[in-house]
Amino acid sequence: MTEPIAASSYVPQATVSEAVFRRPMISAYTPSNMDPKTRERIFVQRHQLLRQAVRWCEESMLTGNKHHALYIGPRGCGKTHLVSMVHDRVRANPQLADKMRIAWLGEDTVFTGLIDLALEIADELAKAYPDEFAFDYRTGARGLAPDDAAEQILGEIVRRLGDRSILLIMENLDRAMRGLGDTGQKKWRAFLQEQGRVATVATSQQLFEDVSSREAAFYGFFEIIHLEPLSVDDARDLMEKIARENDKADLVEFLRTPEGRYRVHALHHLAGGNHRMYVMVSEFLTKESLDGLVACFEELAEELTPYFQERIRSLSPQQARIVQSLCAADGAMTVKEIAEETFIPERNVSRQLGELRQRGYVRSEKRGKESYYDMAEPLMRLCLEVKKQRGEPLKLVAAFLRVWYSDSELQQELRNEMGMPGANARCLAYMKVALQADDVLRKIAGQEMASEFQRHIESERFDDAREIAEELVCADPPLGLLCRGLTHNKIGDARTAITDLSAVIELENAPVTIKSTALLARATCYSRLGNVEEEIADYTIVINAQDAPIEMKARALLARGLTYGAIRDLRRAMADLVAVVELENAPARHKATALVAQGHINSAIGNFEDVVADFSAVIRMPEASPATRTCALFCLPEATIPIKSLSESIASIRRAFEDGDPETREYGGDPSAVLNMVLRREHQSWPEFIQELISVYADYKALDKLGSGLTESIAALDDGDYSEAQLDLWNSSWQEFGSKHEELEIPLKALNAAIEAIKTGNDLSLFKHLPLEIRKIIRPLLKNTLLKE
Amino acid sequence: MAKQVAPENVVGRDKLIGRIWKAIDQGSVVFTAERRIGKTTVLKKMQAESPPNKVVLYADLEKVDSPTRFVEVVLTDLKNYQSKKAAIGRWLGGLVESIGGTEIGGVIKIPPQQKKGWQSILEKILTDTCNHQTNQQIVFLWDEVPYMLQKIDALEEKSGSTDNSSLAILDSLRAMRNENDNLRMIFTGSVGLHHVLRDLRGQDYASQPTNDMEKVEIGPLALEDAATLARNLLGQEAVTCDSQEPVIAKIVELTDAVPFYIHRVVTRMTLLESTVTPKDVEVLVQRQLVDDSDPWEMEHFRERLKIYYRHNLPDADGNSIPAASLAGVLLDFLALAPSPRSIDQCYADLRSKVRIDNRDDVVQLLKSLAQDHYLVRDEKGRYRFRFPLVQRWWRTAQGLEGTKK
Repeated sequence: MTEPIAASSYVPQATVSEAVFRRPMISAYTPSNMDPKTRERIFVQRHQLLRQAVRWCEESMLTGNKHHALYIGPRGCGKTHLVSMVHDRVRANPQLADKMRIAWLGEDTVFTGLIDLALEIADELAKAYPDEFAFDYRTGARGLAPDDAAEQILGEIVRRLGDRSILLIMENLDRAMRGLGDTGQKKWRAFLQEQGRVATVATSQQLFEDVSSREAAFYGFFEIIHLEPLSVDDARDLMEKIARENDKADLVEFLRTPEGRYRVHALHHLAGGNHRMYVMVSEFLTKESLDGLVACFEELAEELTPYFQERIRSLSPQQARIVQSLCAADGAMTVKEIAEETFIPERNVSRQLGELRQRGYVRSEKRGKESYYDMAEPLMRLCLEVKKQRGEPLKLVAAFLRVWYSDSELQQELRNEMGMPGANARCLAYMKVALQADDVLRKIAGQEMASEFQRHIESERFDDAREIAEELVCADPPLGLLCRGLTHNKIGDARTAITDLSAVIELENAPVTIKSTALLARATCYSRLGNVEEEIADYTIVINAQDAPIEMKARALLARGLTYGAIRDLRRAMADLVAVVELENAPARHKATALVAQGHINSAIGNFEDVVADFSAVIRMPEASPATRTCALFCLPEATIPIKSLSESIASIRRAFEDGDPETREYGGDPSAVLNMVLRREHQSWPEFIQELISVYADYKALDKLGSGLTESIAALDDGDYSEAQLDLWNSSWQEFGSKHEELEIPLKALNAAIEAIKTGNDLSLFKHLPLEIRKIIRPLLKNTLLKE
Repeated sequence: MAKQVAPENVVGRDKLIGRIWKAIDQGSVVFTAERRIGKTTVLKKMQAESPPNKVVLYADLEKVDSPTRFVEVVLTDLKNYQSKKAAIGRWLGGLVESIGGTEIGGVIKIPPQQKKGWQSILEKILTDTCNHQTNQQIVFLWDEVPYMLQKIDALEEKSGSTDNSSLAILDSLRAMRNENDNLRMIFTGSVGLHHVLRDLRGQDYASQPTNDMEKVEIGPLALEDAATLARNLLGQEAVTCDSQEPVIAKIVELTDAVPFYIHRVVTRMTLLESTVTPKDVEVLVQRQLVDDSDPWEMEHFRERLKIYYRHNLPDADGNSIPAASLAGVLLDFLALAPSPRSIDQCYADLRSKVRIDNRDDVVQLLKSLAQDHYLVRDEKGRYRFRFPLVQRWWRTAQGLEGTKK
C-alpha cells in the first residue's frame, strides 16, 4: 500500500469488466455462478442463519414437516449468496440424495398465473433430473383453461415425485406472487397445503402485500427473516476474505491496521451494509487501481440508479420528500430537523418516518432522548447525485477518495499524471475534486466512531472502546488520542492515559474543547497517582485559558475547589467554590454541586448559619439534579440540629424524606453525621432526639440506615470527651426506644458493647457480647480506647 | 404456518382430537379458534389418523370462488378417495358421466351447461355417497369456509347477481346433514363465521344455517404439551441453553402455550450467538412485540376491529359512535385491569370515557369480543383478555404503559 498510484489510461467499462474477467471467481452480481468453495470462503456474517436454513431444508426433505422461509433484504445485500450456500450444502448431503428434488426458479421468470409457475417448476425439474421429470407437460394440457392446465401439470409432477419432496428456491418472490395474482396465490397455497410435498426458500427485496396483508392468501405462511446489513466489522471481514482470495496479502494486512479499519468505516458510510458494493470495490482498493475504483463507483451508481428511482417512485410525495432530504443531509437527522428542512408538519414527518422505517427506507437510532433517522441504504445518496451532477465527478466518491488516500498521495499522483500522455482525464478530475472536497466523510465517520466509542464506554466494553479510539486517531487525531487516553484512564492505566492526553494537549491544532477535556482528564489521572500539584496545575490551565468554554472552566474550578478541600486548604477551596457559584452562565448543576461542597466546608468549620443558607439555596434551584438536591435535603438537618429546635430539626428530616428522590443514592443521607450533630447538643436533650429520630426513620422504613449510622457514630463516642453518665444516657436512650425495632437489634448490641469497652478501657465486652463479624466492624471504630489499652 | 408440521409430528392434540371424534359421532362441528392456534394442523392430523368407521376428506376451500367450483372440489375429493379405496364405489364414475363431467389433471370439471344446477348436483353427490357408504360416516373437513363464502358473495355482488349462493351452499349443506345420518362436516377458518353470516344474512334472513353444528373451541396446548413441544424444538434447532427447563418454562409462559409463537421464539433463539437464558426469552418476546415490522402480525388484533365492528351504536345524545371505537376503549381498560372485570365494571369504565347509556349494547359488544377470542369470561362471568400475550401487546401498541387506570 505504499507504492504510488500507477498511471493508467481510463476506460471505465473496460476496466471493471477487465477486472471481472481477470478474476472470474468472485462475482458481485451472480454469486450463484461462483465456485461453491469460493462462496464458502468469502461468506460472512450469516453463519447461524445459514445453519438454520440448511437444518430446515433437511427436516423438510427427510420428514413430513415442511418449512417455508422468506429472506428479505435490499438489492445487493447477499440474498443470492445465502440461497446458493443453502443449495450447496443440501446438495452435498448424501442423506438427501434420494429424498430431495430441487427446483431453483429463474430470478427473472415472468409469471402471469399459476400455469407459469407450474411450467417453470416442471421445466427446472426436467432439466435437473431428466430421468424422472423429462416429459411433455404442455401437450397434455393444451386446450385447457390456464388454471386447469396448471393443476394438471402439478398433478403430473407430484405423480413423478414419488415419495420424495421438492425444495423450491424462488428469488424475487414478490414479483412471482404479483404474477400469480389473487386466484393463483390461493390455488398455489391450497396445493402446498393439501399436498405437503414442497418446502420453500424464497427471497425478496422488501416486504410485500401478498405476504404481509391480512387479506392475502400467503399471510403468515412464511417464516420471514429480515437480513441485517453488514456491520463495519462484517464489511471488513468480507473485504479481508476477498483480498485473501485475490492473493492481496498487503491489503489483508492493511485492513487489520487502525488506518485500514477507519477507511472501511468511511466506506461503510457510503455503502451501508451492501455486500455487492464491497465485493465490487474490493477489487480496486489498492492504490494501483485508483482509476478502477472510480470507474467501479460510477458503474455501481449507474447500475443502481433505476432501482433507487423505482424505490422513490413508489413513495407518496411527502415520503419521497423526506427521503430526498435525508439523502441530501450529511448524516442522521431528527424529526424536527427534517420537518424544518421539508416544511412538512412534524406530526406528519413522524408518521411517515414510521412507515418508511417499516418499509426499509430509513433506519433510526436513539442518541440520548432524541431519535436520529438516516438512510437504510446509503447508496441511494450516490444514485441521486448521479442525476444531479450531469457528468461532473460525483462529490461523494471524491469525498471517499479523500478518505481512502491521503492528501499527499493524491497530490503526488496528480503531479505524476498531469501532462502525461494518455493520462486519464476523468481520474484527474476526480483527484482535483477530491483535493478540494470538504472533509465531510472524514467528519461523519469520525462522529459515528465517536458515538460508537461512547456506547462502548457506557457499557464498559473497554477493549472495543480502545479499538475504535485507535481508528479515530486516523480520522481525527486529537479526538482519537483523547478517546484513547480516556479509555486508558477508565481501565486504571493512568500513566499511559497521561501520555495520550499530553499528546493531545501538545497538539498545535487541537480544538480548545478537546484540549480542555484532555486537561481535565489528565488532572484526574494525576489525582489517581496522588500527584496533587500536577492535578491542580491542569485545572488551573483550563481556568486561565481565554477561550475555554464556560462549562469546562466551571468544571475545572469545581474540581480544583474539591481538591483543595480534600487537602484541607479550606480557604482556597472556598474561593474556587464561590467562584463557580458566581461564574456567569456556568451550568446550574455545577453551581449546585459547588454550593453543596460549600455547605460541607462550612459545616466542618462550624459555620452552621451559612450551611443552612448553602443547602437551602440548592433545594430552591430547579436546575439542580435530583441527586444533588436530595443530597442537600438530607444534609440540611445536620446543620439545623446544632442551632435549631428539636421540632424544626425533625421537620427538616421529614421534609428530606418527603421531597428527596428515593431513586438516588443520596436518599436517606448519612445518619451518622446527623447523630454526631445530636451529640453536640446538651446531653439532656438526647433522649427526646433519639426517640424522635427512631420514629422518623421508622415512618420512612429507613431504620436499617439509621442502624448503620448508629454503629458508625461509635467512633464519635470514642473520640469525644464524654462522661460515663453521658455515655450511659446515650446508650440507655437507644436501648429504650430502639429495642422494639428488629432492624436495630444488632446496632444496639454493638453500641452496648462499645460503650462498655469505652468505659472500661478494654475490649472484653466485645468478646462477651458480639459475634466475630460484628467485632470486626466495631474494633476500628474504637481506635482511642483500644490504643490506650 | 412457516412450517407445515406432518401429522405424526404434531404435539399435544390427541386428547382434543379424541373429543372432536366424540362430538362428530353426535353431529357436525364448527371449529372456533383464535388465529395461530393451529386449526389446520389439527384438521390434517384428523385426516391422517382417522378411525376406521370414518371416511375423512380434507379440502382447503380458500381457492374456491363459485358454487360450481365448490361442487367440483367435493367431487374431486371423493374421486381421489375412491382411487385409494375402491369401496366407495363405481357409482361415482357413473355420476360424473351423468352430469357430463370431465376429469382434467385429476380435477373433475362440471360442464358450463350444468353450472346452474350445482345445487342439485351437490345434493345428489352427497346423498349418493352416504347411501353407498352406509356402514361408515362420511366426514368432510373444510378449511377456510368463511373465506370461500365471502369470496363467492363478493364476486356475485360485483357481477350484479342476486343468487346469494353462499347462503344457498350453507342451506343445502344443512339440508343434507338433516337428511343423511352418516354425513358429517367440520367447518373452520381464520375469519369468524359469525361475522360472515351476519354480513351475508343482512336484516331479513331468518335462517340459522349452522345452528345444528356443535361449536368446539381449539385452545392453546396444555402446559405440559407446550413444554414438550418447546423441548423438541430446542433439540431440533440445536439451541444451547444455560439450563433448559427454566428456558422452556419461560417460553411456555410468554407464548401462552400457542404452538405458533413457540415455533417463532425457538426459531429466533437459534440465531442468538450465546447460550440462551430465560432473560433472553423475555427480551426476544418483547422485541417481537415492539418490532416495527410486526413479525408476529399482532397488528391484526387492532385492524380487524375496524373490519368486523363496522356498525355504529348510539350514544346518550343519539349520536352514532363506531362500535370499533367502543370495543377499543373496552380493551384499553381491560388491558390495564389487574383482575377480571364484571359487565357492570366494564359498563362503568366505558361510561367514564363515552356518553353511552345503553347497557345492552355493551353486553353485546363484550360478547362479540369474547366470540372473537379477544376476551374470555371467568367462572363469575367477569371478562379478561383471553391471551396475556395479546394483552401485553395491546398495552404496548396502544401506548398504555405507564398509564394509571
